[in-house]
Amino acid sequence: MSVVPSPETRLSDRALVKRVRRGQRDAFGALVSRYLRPALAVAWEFTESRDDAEDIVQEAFGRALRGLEGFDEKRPFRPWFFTIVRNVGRNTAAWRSRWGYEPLSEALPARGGDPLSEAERREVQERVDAGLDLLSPMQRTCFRLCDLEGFSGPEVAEMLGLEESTVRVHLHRARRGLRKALQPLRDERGSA
Amino acid sequence: MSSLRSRLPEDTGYWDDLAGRITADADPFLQEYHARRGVWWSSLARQCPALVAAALIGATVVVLALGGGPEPARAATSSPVVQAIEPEDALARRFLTAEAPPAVEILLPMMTGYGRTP
Repeated sequence: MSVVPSPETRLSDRALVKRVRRGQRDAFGALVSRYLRPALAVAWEFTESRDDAEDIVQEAFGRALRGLEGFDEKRPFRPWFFTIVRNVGRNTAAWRSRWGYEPLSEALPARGGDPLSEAERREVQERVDAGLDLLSPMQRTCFRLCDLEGFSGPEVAEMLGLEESTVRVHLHRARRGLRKALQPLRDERGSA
Repeated sequence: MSSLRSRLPEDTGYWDDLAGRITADADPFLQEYHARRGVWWSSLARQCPALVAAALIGATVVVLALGGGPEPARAATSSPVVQAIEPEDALARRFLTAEAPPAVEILLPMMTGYGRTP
């Protein structure tokens, strides 16, 4: 995401697509800047590794660019592009599981501080992870994209190719499930 | 699953790098699009050749109809045969060389001497 906004950033998706089809690099750069963050968020739902998520996004942009030749300009770009991201993500996940590929787990950032608070932090995180694991994949994804990454319900609906109401339901269930899973921890903290 | 925190980096440099990588990766395709720009009709011809063929035939017909055909009157008057038989008198020349028939008022004064004597 460039610090200095180019004139292309003000253009609509349709105008940018037209320019990209004429081979304009700046227009493609503007599309990339516009969709990079949400695309990475979606891609990361298909993998545990950031490197893999980046590969998925890069491949998705490449496919989108190649597909623009036959793309109907009257159609909106956004849902079409996110369909590509999800397809590439699914293919990558399937490939990984088929070949038993295990990405290197991303180590949590080391934090300074006393050993007690570090142990405490680890315990809270384990409980949170266990709570998240209890959710269905779609509940987890909606929760993460809305509540952790800060995308709006309509945005997430477009990113995942779902109805807004479906996203709301998944989100509601995820929050309820997580609250339930973390209740013992809250009780312990409350009584301590 | 790591925690209840955003996984997306906040560092602007990270996003710039990633965007730069993706854009650089796209360069060959963008160049291809740019190269095709001048020959927009080639993609049209690839997609619907019948339409392009019909358009070409139509254009040829229009060109022939508008200016390609000979003009009979001028061709006749300028041909060597007509020039060879072109009479000396003004009245005949008028008939041969004019594009439209001459008006009677013009012809009448020229007809002196043509009339048969009773």
